[in-house]
Amino acid sequence: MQIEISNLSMTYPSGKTALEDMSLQMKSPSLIGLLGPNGAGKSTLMKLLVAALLPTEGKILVDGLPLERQEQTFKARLGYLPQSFGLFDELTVWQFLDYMAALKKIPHSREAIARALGRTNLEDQQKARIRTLSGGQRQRVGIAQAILGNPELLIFDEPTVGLDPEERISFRNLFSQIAQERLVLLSTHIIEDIQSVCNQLLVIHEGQIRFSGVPGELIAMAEGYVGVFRERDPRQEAGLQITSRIHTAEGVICRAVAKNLPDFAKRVEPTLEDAYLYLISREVMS
Amino acid sequence: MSKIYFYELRRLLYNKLFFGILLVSLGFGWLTLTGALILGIAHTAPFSPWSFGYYLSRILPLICLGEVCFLAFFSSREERLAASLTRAAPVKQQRYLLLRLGAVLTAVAFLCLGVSVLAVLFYRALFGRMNLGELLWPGLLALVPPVIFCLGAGLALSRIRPVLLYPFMAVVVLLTALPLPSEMSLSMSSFYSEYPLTLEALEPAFQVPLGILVSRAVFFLLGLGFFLHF
Repeated sequence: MQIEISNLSMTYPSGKTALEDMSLQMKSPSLIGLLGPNGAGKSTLMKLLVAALLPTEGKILVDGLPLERQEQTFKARLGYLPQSFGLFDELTVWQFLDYMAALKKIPHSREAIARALGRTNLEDQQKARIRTLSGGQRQRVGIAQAILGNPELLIFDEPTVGLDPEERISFRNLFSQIAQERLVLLSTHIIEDIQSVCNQLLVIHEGQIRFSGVPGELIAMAEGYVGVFRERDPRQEAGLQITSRIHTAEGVICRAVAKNLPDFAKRVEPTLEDAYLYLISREVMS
Repeated sequence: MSKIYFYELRRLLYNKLFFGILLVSLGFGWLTLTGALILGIAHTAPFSPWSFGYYLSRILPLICLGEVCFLAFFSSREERLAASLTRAAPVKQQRYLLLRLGAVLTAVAFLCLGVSVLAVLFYRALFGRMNLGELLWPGLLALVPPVIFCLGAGLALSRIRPVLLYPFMAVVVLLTALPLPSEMSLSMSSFYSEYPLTLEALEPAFQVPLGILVSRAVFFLLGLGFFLHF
Protein backbone atom coordinates (compact mmCIF):
# COMPACT_ATOMS: atom_id res chain seq x y z
CA MET A 1 0.00 0.00 0.00
CA GLN A 2 1.17 3.48 -0.81
CA ILE A 3 -0.33 6.67 0.57
CA GLU A 4 0.50 10.02 -0.90
CA ILE A 5 -0.59 13.18 0.83
CA SER A 6 -0.21 16.40 -1.12
CA ASN A 7 -0.76 19.97 0.03
CA LEU A 8 -3.18 18.83 2.70
CA SER A 9 -4.79 21.55 4.82
CA MET A 10 -7.52 21.31 7.38
CA THR A 11 -9.31 24.26 8.92
CA TYR A 12 -12.16 23.50 11.30
CA PRO A 13 -15.45 25.44 11.09
CA SER A 14 -14.34 27.29 14.25
CA GLY A 15 -11.53 28.79 12.17
CA LYS A 16 -8.75 26.80 13.80
CA THR A 17 -6.17 25.60 11.30
CA ALA A 18 -5.04 22.14 12.34
CA LEU A 19 -2.96 21.22 9.28
CA GLU A 20 -1.32 23.48 6.77
CA ASP A 21 -0.04 22.49 3.33
CA MET A 22 1.23 19.09 4.38
CA SER A 23 2.83 16.75 1.86
CA LEU A 24 4.01 13.27 2.66
CA GLN A 25 4.50 9.76 1.26
CA MET A 26 4.08 6.50 3.14
CA LYS A 27 4.72 3.05 1.74
CA SER A 28 4.40 -0.42 3.22
CA PRO A 29 6.14 -2.16 4.87
CA SER A 30 6.91 0.53 7.38
CA LEU A 31 6.30 1.56 10.97
CA ILE A 32 6.03 5.30 11.07
CA GLY A 33 6.11 7.12 14.38
CA LEU A 34 4.21 10.37 14.66
CA LEU A 35 5.43 12.82 17.27
CA GLY A 36 4.33 16.30 18.18
CA PRO A 37 3.07 18.38 21.08
CA ASN A 38 -0.61 18.41 22.04
CA GLY A 39 -2.66 20.24 19.42
CA ALA A 40 0.04 19.84 16.78
CA GLY A 41 -2.39 18.22 14.32
CA LYS A 42 -1.52 14.52 14.74
CA SER A 43 -5.07 13.37 15.48
CA THR A 44 -6.47 15.55 12.70
CA LEU A 45 -4.05 13.94 10.24
CA MET A 46 -5.17 10.51 11.40
CA LYS A 47 -8.86 11.43 11.12
CA LEU A 48 -8.25 12.66 7.58
CA LEU A 49 -6.45 9.41 6.76
CA VAL A 50 -9.41 7.31 7.93
CA ALA A 51 -11.89 9.54 6.06
CA ALA A 52 -13.52 10.68 9.30
CA LEU A 53 -12.88 14.27 8.16
CA LEU A 54 -12.75 15.90 4.76
CA PRO A 55 -9.75 18.13 4.08
CA THR A 56 -10.38 21.77 3.28
CA GLU A 57 -7.56 21.63 0.71
CA GLY A 58 -5.23 19.08 -0.82
CA LYS A 59 -5.69 15.39 -1.49
CA ILE A 60 -4.90 11.95 -0.20
CA LEU A 61 -4.10 9.29 -2.78
CA VAL A 62 -4.16 5.62 -1.86
CA ASP A 63 -2.37 3.47 -4.41
CA GLY A 64 -2.75 6.33 -6.85
CA LEU A 65 -6.52 6.85 -6.40
CA PRO A 66 -8.19 9.61 -4.39
CA LEU A 67 -9.33 8.38 -0.98
CA GLU A 68 -12.86 9.80 -1.31
CA ARG A 69 -13.44 7.76 -4.50
CA GLN A 70 -12.60 4.46 -2.81
CA GLU A 71 -13.68 5.09 0.77
CA GLN A 72 -15.37 1.73 1.32
CA THR A 73 -12.62 -0.39 -0.25
CA PHE A 74 -9.99 1.64 1.60
CA LYS A 75 -11.76 1.10 4.92
CA ALA A 76 -11.83 -2.63 4.24
CA ARG A 77 -8.01 -2.47 4.29
CA LEU A 78 -7.83 -0.32 7.41
CA GLY A 79 -7.49 -0.96 11.15
CA TYR A 80 -7.92 2.13 13.29
CA LEU A 81 -7.62 2.90 16.97
CA PRO A 82 -8.50 6.52 17.81
CA GLN A 83 -7.17 8.35 20.84
CA SER A 84 -10.52 8.26 22.61
CA PHE A 85 -13.06 5.63 21.74
CA GLY A 86 -16.06 3.91 23.23
CA LEU A 87 -16.99 0.25 23.43
CA PHE A 88 -20.36 -1.44 23.83
CA ASP A 89 -20.38 -2.11 27.56
CA GLU A 90 -23.29 -4.58 27.41
CA LEU A 91 -21.42 -7.00 25.15
CA THR A 92 -18.68 -9.44 26.08
CA VAL A 93 -15.21 -8.98 24.58
CA TRP A 94 -15.85 -11.81 22.13
CA GLN A 95 -19.25 -10.46 21.12
CA PHE A 96 -17.82 -6.98 20.57
CA LEU A 97 -15.09 -8.35 18.32
CA ASP A 98 -17.70 -10.47 16.50
CA TYR A 99 -19.76 -7.29 16.00
CA MET A 100 -16.74 -5.41 14.64
CA ALA A 101 -15.80 -8.37 12.41
CA ALA A 102 -19.33 -8.34 10.94
CA LEU A 103 -19.13 -4.58 10.43
CA LYS A 104 -15.73 -4.92 8.73
CA LYS A 105 -17.05 -7.86 6.67
CA ILE A 106 -14.15 -10.05 7.74
CA PRO A 107 -14.36 -13.59 6.36
CA HIS A 108 -13.73 -16.51 8.75
CA SER A 109 -14.42 -14.21 11.66
CA ARG A 110 -14.07 -16.87 14.37
CA GLU A 111 -10.44 -17.53 13.44
CA ALA A 112 -9.76 -13.79 13.07
CA ILE A 113 -11.23 -13.09 16.52
CA ALA A 114 -9.28 -15.92 18.12
CA ARG A 115 -6.07 -14.57 16.55
CA ALA A 116 -6.76 -11.00 17.70
CA LEU A 117 -7.60 -12.20 21.23
CA GLY A 118 -4.36 -14.16 21.34
CA ARG A 119 -2.21 -11.29 20.07
CA THR A 120 -3.70 -8.87 22.61
CA ASN A 121 -3.59 -11.37 25.48
CA LEU A 122 -7.34 -11.17 26.03
CA GLU A 123 -8.18 -14.88 25.83
CA ASP A 124 -9.03 -15.05 29.54
CA GLN A 125 -11.34 -12.04 29.28
CA GLN A 126 -13.17 -13.06 26.10
CA LYS A 127 -16.36 -13.94 28.00
CA ALA A 128 -16.18 -10.93 30.33
CA ARG A 129 -18.61 -8.07 29.79
CA ILE A 130 -16.79 -4.97 28.61
CA ARG A 131 -18.20 -2.90 31.49
CA THR A 132 -16.23 -5.10 33.91
CA LEU A 133 -12.84 -4.49 32.24
CA SER A 134 -10.07 -2.24 33.55
CA GLY A 135 -8.82 0.75 31.54
CA GLY A 136 -5.84 -1.22 30.23
CA GLN A 137 -8.02 -4.15 29.21
CA ARG A 138 -10.41 -1.81 27.35
CA GLN A 139 -7.40 -0.36 25.54
CA ARG A 140 -6.40 -3.90 24.56
CA VAL A 141 -9.93 -4.53 23.21
CA GLY A 142 -9.48 -1.36 21.14
CA ILE A 143 -6.19 -2.68 19.75
CA ALA A 144 -7.77 -6.12 19.12
CA GLN A 145 -10.58 -4.64 17.01
CA ALA A 146 -8.00 -2.64 15.02
CA ILE A 147 -5.88 -5.68 14.13
CA LEU A 148 -8.93 -7.88 13.35
CA GLY A 149 -8.60 -9.45 9.94
CA ASN A 150 -4.95 -8.41 9.56
CA PRO A 151 -5.57 -5.09 7.71
CA GLU A 152 -3.00 -3.66 5.32
CA LEU A 153 -2.91 -0.27 7.03
CA LEU A 154 -3.00 0.24 10.78
CA ILE A 155 -3.41 3.63 12.36
CA PHE A 156 -2.94 3.85 16.11
CA ASP A 157 -3.49 7.08 17.99
CA GLU A 158 -1.89 6.80 21.44
CA PRO A 159 -2.41 3.02 21.61
CA THR A 160 -0.36 2.38 24.73
CA VAL A 161 -2.17 4.84 27.00
CA GLY A 162 -3.31 3.07 30.16
CA LEU A 163 -1.14 0.01 29.63
CA ASP A 164 1.41 -1.11 32.21
CA PRO A 165 5.10 -1.13 31.15
CA GLU A 166 5.13 -4.85 30.44
CA GLU A 167 2.04 -4.61 28.23
CA ARG A 168 3.45 -1.54 26.51
CA ILE A 169 6.62 -3.41 25.55
CA SER A 170 4.59 -6.39 24.40
CA PHE A 171 2.40 -4.17 22.20
CA ARG A 172 5.22 -2.24 20.64
CA ASN A 173 6.76 -5.61 19.73
CA LEU A 174 3.40 -6.59 18.23
CA PHE A 175 3.30 -3.37 16.18
CA SER A 176 6.82 -4.07 15.00
CA GLN A 177 5.86 -7.62 13.93
CA ILE A 178 2.80 -6.35 12.08
CA ALA A 179 4.87 -3.68 10.33
CA GLN A 180 7.14 -6.31 8.75
CA GLU A 181 4.57 -6.64 5.98
CA ARG A 182 2.13 -3.79 6.61
CA LEU A 183 2.01 -0.05 6.92
CA VAL A 184 1.62 1.07 10.52
CA LEU A 185 1.22 4.66 11.62
CA LEU A 186 1.75 5.12 15.33
CA SER A 187 1.12 8.35 17.16
CA THR A 188 2.36 8.53 20.73
CA HIS A 189 3.81 10.80 23.36
CA ILE A 190 6.05 8.00 24.56
CA ILE A 191 9.25 8.66 22.65
CA GLU A 192 10.77 5.42 23.93
CA ASP A 193 8.10 3.49 22.00
CA ILE A 194 9.05 5.26 18.79
CA GLN A 195 12.77 4.86 19.39
CA SER A 196 12.33 1.12 19.98
CA VAL A 197 10.31 0.15 16.94
CA CYS A 198 9.79 2.87 14.34
CA ASN A 199 11.89 2.91 11.19
CA GLN A 200 10.54 6.28 10.14
CA LEU A 201 9.68 9.34 12.16
CA LEU A 202 7.45 12.32 11.50
CA VAL A 203 7.45 15.32 13.77
CA ILE A 204 4.45 17.61 13.44
CA HIS A 205 4.27 21.03 15.03
CA GLU A 206 1.62 23.70 14.49
CA GLY A 207 0.05 21.73 11.65
CA GLN A 208 3.24 21.30 9.63
CA ILE A 209 5.82 18.57 9.25
CA ARG A 210 9.03 19.70 10.95
CA PHE A 211 10.95 16.50 10.47
CA SER A 212 10.59 13.42 8.31
CA GLY A 213 13.24 10.73 8.26
CA VAL A 214 14.79 7.98 10.32
CA PRO A 215 15.13 8.54 14.08
CA GLY A 216 18.95 8.50 13.78
CA GLU A 217 18.85 11.55 11.52
CA LEU A 218 16.91 13.54 14.09
CA ILE A 219 19.38 12.48 16.78
CA ALA A 220 22.27 13.58 14.56
CA MET A 221 20.63 17.01 14.15
CA ALA A 222 20.80 17.56 17.90
CA GLU A 223 24.46 16.63 18.31
CA GLY A 224 26.35 19.38 20.10
CA TYR A 225 23.18 20.87 21.52
CA VAL A 226 22.71 18.57 24.54
CA GLY A 227 24.72 18.84 27.73
CA VAL A 228 24.75 17.96 31.41
CA PHE A 229 25.79 20.08 34.36
CA ARG A 230 25.56 20.13 38.14
CA GLU A 231 23.03 22.65 39.33
CA ARG A 232 24.53 25.40 41.51
CA ASP A 233 22.28 28.33 40.84
CA PRO A 234 18.74 28.21 39.39
CA ARG A 235 19.70 31.19 37.19
CA GLN A 236 22.00 28.82 35.31
CA GLU A 237 18.91 27.37 33.62
CA ALA A 238 17.92 30.55 31.82
CA GLY A 239 17.59 29.91 28.08
CA LEU A 240 17.99 26.16 28.50
CA GLN A 241 15.40 23.48 27.93
CA ILE A 242 15.89 21.13 30.90
CA THR A 243 15.05 17.53 29.93
CA SER A 244 15.91 15.82 33.22
CA ARG A 245 16.99 16.56 36.80
CA ILE A 246 18.58 13.68 38.67
CA HIS A 247 19.19 13.94 42.40
CA THR A 248 22.54 12.35 43.26
CA ALA A 249 24.85 12.34 46.29
CA GLU A 250 26.90 15.13 44.63
CA GLY A 251 23.86 17.30 43.96
CA VAL A 252 21.31 17.74 41.19
CA ILE A 253 22.55 16.75 37.73
CA CYS A 254 20.64 18.55 34.98
CA ARG A 255 20.40 17.53 31.36
CA ALA A 256 19.64 20.40 29.01
CA VAL A 257 19.02 21.16 25.37
CA ALA A 258 19.88 24.55 23.87
CA LYS A 259 20.94 26.10 20.60
CA ASN A 260 23.90 27.70 22.44
CA LEU A 261 25.05 25.50 25.28
CA PRO A 262 26.83 27.38 28.10
CA ASP A 263 30.49 26.53 28.85
CA PHE A 264 29.69 24.90 32.19
CA ALA A 265 27.61 22.21 30.42
CA LYS A 266 29.42 19.09 29.30
CA ARG A 267 28.30 18.01 25.83
CA VAL A 268 26.78 14.50 25.67
CA GLU A 269 25.25 12.18 23.07
CA PRO A 270 21.62 13.19 22.47
CA THR A 271 18.77 10.74 22.85
CA LEU A 272 15.69 10.81 20.60
CA GLU A 273 13.83 12.66 23.36
CA ASP A 274 16.58 15.31 23.52
CA ALA A 275 16.53 15.61 19.74
CA TYR A 276 12.76 15.99 19.66
CA LEU A 277 12.85 18.65 22.37
CA TYR A 278 15.68 20.41 20.58
CA LEU A 279 13.66 20.48 17.36
CA ILE A 280 10.52 21.78 19.05
CA SER A 281 12.32 24.30 21.29
CA ARG A 282 14.27 25.57 18.27
CA GLU A 283 10.95 26.18 16.53
CA VAL A 284 9.54 27.96 19.57
CA MET A 285 12.66 30.14 20.02
CA SER A 286 12.84 31.07 16.35
CA MET B 1 -25.42 -7.39 8.31
CA SER B 2 -28.19 -9.34 10.03
CA LYS B 3 -25.65 -10.09 12.76
CA ILE B 4 -25.30 -6.37 13.48
CA TYR B 5 -29.10 -6.04 13.68
CA PHE B 6 -29.35 -8.90 16.17
CA TYR B 7 -26.50 -7.55 18.28
CA GLU B 8 -28.16 -4.12 18.37
CA LEU B 9 -31.47 -5.69 19.29
CA ARG B 10 -29.79 -7.74 21.97
CA ARG B 11 -28.16 -4.59 23.38
CA LEU B 12 -31.59 -2.96 23.63
CA LEU B 13 -33.49 -5.97 24.98
CA TYR B 14 -30.91 -7.25 27.50
CA ASN B 15 -30.99 -3.91 29.14
CA LYS B 16 -32.33 -2.53 32.43
CA LEU B 17 -33.97 0.27 30.45
CA PHE B 18 -36.06 -2.12 28.35
CA PHE B 19 -37.03 -4.29 31.29
CA GLY B 20 -37.91 -1.22 33.36
CA ILE B 21 -40.17 0.24 30.66
CA LEU B 22 -41.76 -3.14 29.96
CA LEU B 23 -42.49 -3.75 33.65
CA VAL B 24 -43.94 -0.26 34.19
CA SER B 25 -46.04 -0.61 31.00
CA LEU B 26 -47.35 -4.01 32.07
CA GLY B 27 -48.07 -2.73 35.58
CA PHE B 28 -49.89 0.33 34.30
CA GLY B 29 -51.65 -1.84 31.71
CA TRP B 30 -52.87 -4.19 34.44
CA LEU B 31 -54.19 -1.25 36.48
CA THR B 32 -55.98 0.11 33.39
CA LEU B 33 -57.46 -3.30 32.54
CA THR B 34 -58.70 -4.00 36.05
CA GLY B 35 -59.75 -0.40 36.71
CA ALA B 36 -61.11 1.65 33.83
CA LEU B 37 -61.44 -1.08 31.22
CA ILE B 38 -63.31 -3.79 33.09
CA LEU B 39 -66.45 -1.67 33.03
CA GLY B 40 -66.10 -1.05 29.29
CA ILE B 41 -65.35 2.26 27.61
CA ALA B 42 -68.21 4.51 26.39
CA HIS B 43 -70.81 1.87 27.24
CA THR B 44 -69.11 -0.69 25.01
CA ALA B 45 -67.85 -4.11 26.06
CA PRO B 46 -64.43 -4.24 27.80
CA PHE B 47 -63.16 -6.31 24.84
CA SER B 48 -64.61 -4.02 22.17
CA PRO B 49 -62.23 -2.32 19.71
CA TRP B 50 -63.12 0.99 21.41
CA SER B 51 -62.08 -0.28 24.85
CA PHE B 52 -58.95 -1.93 23.45
CA GLY B 53 -58.00 1.29 21.63
CA TYR B 54 -58.55 3.25 24.84
CA TYR B 55 -56.35 0.78 26.75
CA LEU B 56 -53.52 1.21 24.22
CA SER B 57 -53.93 4.99 24.20
CA ARG B 58 -53.41 5.05 27.99
CA ILE B 59 -50.16 3.06 27.72
CA LEU B 60 -48.95 4.87 24.61
CA PRO B 61 -47.06 7.62 26.52
CA LEU B 62 -44.91 4.93 28.14
CA ILE B 63 -44.27 3.21 24.83
CA CYS B 64 -43.33 6.50 23.14
CA LEU B 65 -41.12 7.45 26.07
CA GLY B 66 -39.45 4.05 25.80
CA GLU B 67 -38.86 4.64 22.11
CA VAL B 68 -37.24 8.03 22.74
CA CYS B 69 -35.14 6.44 25.52
CA PHE B 70 -33.90 3.82 23.03
CA LEU B 71 -32.97 6.62 20.63
CA ALA B 72 -31.20 8.41 23.51
CA PHE B 73 -29.35 5.15 24.26
CA PHE B 74 -27.96 5.21 20.72
CA SER B 75 -27.02 8.89 20.99
CA SER B 76 -25.26 8.70 24.36
CA ARG B 77 -21.71 9.95 24.80
CA GLU B 78 -20.32 6.41 24.96
CA GLU B 79 -22.13 5.53 21.72
CA ARG B 80 -20.75 8.63 20.01
CA LEU B 81 -17.25 7.62 21.14
CA ALA B 82 -17.83 4.10 19.81
CA ALA B 83 -18.85 5.67 16.50
CA SER B 84 -15.19 6.61 15.96
CA LEU B 85 -14.56 2.86 15.58
CA THR B 86 -17.68 1.94 13.62
CA ARG B 87 -17.24 4.84 11.17
CA ALA B 88 -13.84 3.45 10.19
CA ALA B 89 -15.51 0.22 9.05
CA PRO B 90 -16.40 -0.38 5.39
CA VAL B 91 -20.14 -0.04 5.86
CA LYS B 92 -22.39 2.69 4.50
CA GLN B 93 -23.40 4.83 7.46
CA GLN B 94 -27.01 5.18 6.28
CA ARG B 95 -27.37 1.43 6.09
CA TYR B 96 -25.87 1.09 9.55
CA LEU B 97 -28.28 3.71 10.90
CA LEU B 98 -31.21 1.87 9.30
CA LEU B 99 -30.16 -1.34 11.04
CA ARG B 100 -30.04 0.42 14.38
CA LEU B 101 -33.42 2.07 13.82
CA GLY B 102 -34.77 -1.34 12.84
CA ALA B 103 -33.58 -2.62 16.21
CA VAL B 104 -35.30 0.33 17.97
CA LEU B 105 -38.56 -0.37 16.12
CA THR B 106 -38.32 -4.07 16.98
CA ALA B 107 -37.79 -3.25 20.67
CA VAL B 108 -40.83 -0.93 20.53
CA ALA B 109 -42.79 -3.71 18.79
CA PHE B 110 -41.89 -6.02 21.69
CA LEU B 111 -43.25 -3.42 24.14
CA CYS B 112 -46.48 -3.13 22.11
CA LEU B 113 -46.72 -6.90 21.86
CA GLY B 114 -46.19 -7.24 25.60
CA VAL B 115 -49.06 -4.92 26.55
CA SER B 116 -51.31 -6.38 23.82
CA VAL B 117 -50.67 -9.95 25.00
CA LEU B 118 -51.49 -8.83 28.55
CA ALA B 119 -54.84 -7.48 27.35
CA VAL B 120 -55.60 -10.63 25.35
CA LEU B 121 -54.78 -12.87 28.32
CA PHE B 122 -57.01 -10.68 30.49
CA TYR B 123 -59.87 -10.94 27.96
CA ARG B 124 -59.40 -14.70 27.60
CA ALA B 125 -59.40 -15.20 31.36
CA LEU B 126 -62.58 -13.17 31.87
CA PHE B 127 -64.56 -13.58 28.68
CA GLY B 128 -63.24 -16.78 27.07
CA ARG B 129 -62.73 -17.10 23.31
CA MET B 130 -63.12 -13.93 21.30
CA ASN B 131 -62.39 -12.54 17.86
CA LEU B 132 -58.91 -11.05 18.12
CA GLY B 133 -58.92 -9.99 14.47
CA GLU B 134 -61.23 -7.07 15.18
CA LEU B 135 -58.67 -5.64 17.62
CA LEU B 136 -55.99 -5.42 14.95
CA TRP B 137 -57.17 -2.25 13.19
CA PRO B 138 -57.69 -0.18 16.40
CA GLY B 139 -54.34 -1.49 17.62
CA LEU B 140 -52.51 -0.41 14.46
CA LEU B 141 -54.33 2.93 14.40
CA ALA B 142 -53.44 3.63 18.03
CA LEU B 143 -49.79 2.59 17.85
CA VAL B 144 -48.26 2.93 14.38
CA PRO B 145 -48.63 6.69 13.64
CA PRO B 146 -47.35 7.86 17.08
CA VAL B 147 -44.46 5.35 17.02
CA ILE B 148 -43.37 6.48 13.54
CA PHE B 149 -43.75 10.16 14.49
CA CYS B 150 -41.62 9.73 17.63
CA LEU B 151 -39.00 7.75 15.70
CA GLY B 152 -38.67 10.36 12.94
CA ALA B 153 -38.82 13.42 15.19
CA GLY B 154 -36.51 11.81 17.77
CA LEU B 155 -34.01 10.88 15.08
CA ALA B 156 -34.08 14.42 13.66
CA LEU B 157 -33.52 15.97 17.10
CA SER B 158 -30.74 13.55 17.99
CA ARG B 159 -29.01 14.46 14.72
CA ILE B 160 -29.24 18.18 15.53
CA ARG B 161 -28.17 17.72 19.17
CA PRO B 162 -28.62 14.53 21.18
CA VAL B 163 -29.51 16.48 24.33
CA LEU B 164 -32.71 17.68 22.59
CA LEU B 165 -34.14 14.19 23.07
CA TYR B 166 -34.72 14.96 26.75
CA PRO B 167 -37.05 17.96 26.23
CA PHE B 168 -38.64 15.91 23.45
CA MET B 169 -39.59 13.30 26.06
CA ALA B 170 -41.57 16.04 27.84
CA VAL B 171 -43.20 17.05 24.53
CA VAL B 172 -44.20 13.43 23.91
CA VAL B 173 -45.80 13.21 27.36
CA LEU B 174 -47.66 16.48 26.75
CA LEU B 175 -48.86 15.37 23.31
CA THR B 176 -50.15 12.10 24.73
CA ALA B 177 -51.33 13.04 28.22
CA LEU B 178 -52.82 16.53 27.85
CA PRO B 179 -56.58 16.69 27.12
CA LEU B 180 -56.00 17.91 23.57
CA PRO B 181 -58.58 17.50 20.78
CA SER B 182 -58.27 13.95 19.41
CA GLU B 183 -56.87 15.21 16.10
CA MET B 184 -53.95 16.90 17.88
CA SER B 185 -53.30 14.26 20.48
CA LEU B 186 -50.78 11.50 19.86
CA SER B 187 -52.76 9.06 21.99
CA MET B 188 -56.30 10.33 21.18
CA SER B 189 -57.74 8.60 24.25
CA SER B 190 -60.73 11.00 24.19
CA PHE B 191 -61.62 9.67 20.71
CA TYR B 192 -62.09 6.16 22.11
CA SER B 193 -64.00 7.33 25.18
CA GLU B 194 -66.20 10.02 23.60
CA TYR B 195 -66.74 9.31 19.91
CA PRO B 196 -68.74 6.06 20.39
CA LEU B 197 -71.24 8.03 22.50
CA THR B 198 -71.99 10.27 19.54
CA LEU B 199 -72.87 7.29 17.33
CA GLU B 200 -76.14 6.64 19.20
CA ALA B 201 -75.85 2.86 19.11
CA LEU B 202 -75.56 0.40 21.98
CA GLU B 203 -72.43 -1.40 20.76
CA PRO B 204 -71.28 0.66 17.75
CA ALA B 205 -68.93 -0.93 15.25
CA PHE B 206 -65.44 0.50 15.21
CA GLN B 207 -65.29 3.37 12.74
CA VAL B 208 -62.89 6.26 12.33
CA PRO B 209 -63.99 9.72 11.10
CA LEU B 210 -62.02 11.34 8.30
CA GLY B 211 -60.53 14.02 10.60
CA ILE B 212 -58.93 11.37 12.79
CA LEU B 213 -57.69 9.42 9.79
CA VAL B 214 -56.13 12.57 8.35
CA SER B 215 -54.50 13.48 11.68
CA ARG B 216 -53.01 9.95 11.99
CA ALA B 217 -51.75 10.19 8.41
CA VAL B 218 -50.19 13.58 9.24
CA PHE B 219 -48.37 12.17 12.29
CA PHE B 220 -47.22 9.18 10.24
CA LEU B 221 -46.03 11.29 7.30
CA LEU B 222 -44.35 13.83 9.57
CA GLY B 223 -42.40 11.02 11.20
CA LEU B 224 -41.51 9.56 7.82
CA GLY B 225 -40.55 13.00 6.52
CA PHE B 226 -38.21 13.68 9.46
CA PHE B 227 -36.73 10.23 9.01
CA LEU B 228 -36.07 10.69 5.30
CA HIS B 229 -34.78 14.23 5.70
CA PHE B 230 -32.27 13.40 8.43
